[in-house]
Amino acid sequence: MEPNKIENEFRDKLEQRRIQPSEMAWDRLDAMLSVTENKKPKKKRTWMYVAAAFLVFLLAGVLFLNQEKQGNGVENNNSVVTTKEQPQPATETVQLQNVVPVIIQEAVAAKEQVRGTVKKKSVQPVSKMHEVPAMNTEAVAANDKKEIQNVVPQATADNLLASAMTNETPKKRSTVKVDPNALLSNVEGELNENYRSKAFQGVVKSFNTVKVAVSNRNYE
Amino acid sequence: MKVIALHQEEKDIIAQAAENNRHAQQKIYAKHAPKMLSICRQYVKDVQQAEDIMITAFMKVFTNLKAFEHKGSFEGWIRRIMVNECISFIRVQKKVRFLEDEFFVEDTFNNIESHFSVEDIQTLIDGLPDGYKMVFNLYAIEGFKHQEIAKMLGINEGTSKSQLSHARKMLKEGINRLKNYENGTE
Repeated sequence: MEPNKIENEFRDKLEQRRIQPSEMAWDRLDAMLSVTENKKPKKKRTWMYVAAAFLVFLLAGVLFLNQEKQGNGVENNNSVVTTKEQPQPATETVQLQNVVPVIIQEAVAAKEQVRGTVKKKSVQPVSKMHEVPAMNTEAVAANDKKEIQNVVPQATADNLLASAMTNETPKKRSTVKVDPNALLSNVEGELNENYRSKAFQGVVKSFNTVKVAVSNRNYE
Repeated sequence: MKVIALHQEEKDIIAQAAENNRHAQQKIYAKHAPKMLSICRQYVKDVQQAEDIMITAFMKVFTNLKAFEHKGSFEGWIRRIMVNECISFIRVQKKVRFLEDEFFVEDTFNNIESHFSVEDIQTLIDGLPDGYKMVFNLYAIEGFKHQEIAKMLGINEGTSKSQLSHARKMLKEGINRLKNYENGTE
């Protein structure tokens, strides 16, 4: 399988051969080379951009975390407020106990369920409180039932109001807390602008008077 | 002394070209391009395609110039890059698959005497399928061993041998046809 005579002849003749490339070939190679040369510094720049972007994100993240920490403090205060207001429905249920002692004696378990639901959600208790008297209609007089039904909706309405108030107040507080700096800066900016415009107007006015005086003198 | 001076000159030009000196790069290109295009043409029938391959190979030459360690000849280094580029072009673009038959015979190719022109030789090689052509070029023209060819093309050594024997058989037929044609016209 050694290269033989004719193959050596092939090789020798092919080795001697030269094919002149087209004139465009060097221009194309030149263009390709300059493209790759231009690419290299760009790569370095993009690296810098990436690093800069990373730093910006890091800074933004740190600032955001700091803000969140401050925000958490505010939220904690809010939660304290809600816990203060939560006992109120409990006292109302106590009032209910005073009004209808018979029912509570008969259905203690039911009352506990009601308490739990009142604390969690103020809408559910309405249906459940309706059910409780329905269960005890045989034992209690019709007048008492009416009283219960009248009292219960009021209590739930109060709960609704209280929960609504607690839901609304934190939002207002947070917005008020965030605003002052922005507001102050805005007002400062406006003050500056006002001051500038006033000063400018004053300058223009005095300039005009001088102008008028000069023109009058010229006429004279 | 002259040879040493020439060698030093080539070394300097290579160093300059490695630093993206376009003038030095053009000097290297002008010196080697005609021969390299001839080599690419052995593997690819279309001259325009061969030129495209040569340009991409020269791109690789210039971008990897710093890796050249002046151990072998510079021309040999460029030539190796050209051949590799041709092989990868044929394998990727033309999706050549080798028949792993490992069947080969000692041929009676040896004692043929001929005085073909380079054009005739090229048409004979062009007539080979891409797989045969690659193995034949690598073995007979570039002087690689079957083991090396097998590694370069990702095939078995036996496949390389069988491809060569097939190529030789086809070439023999082609040579006979050419001889008959020449005799017929004479």
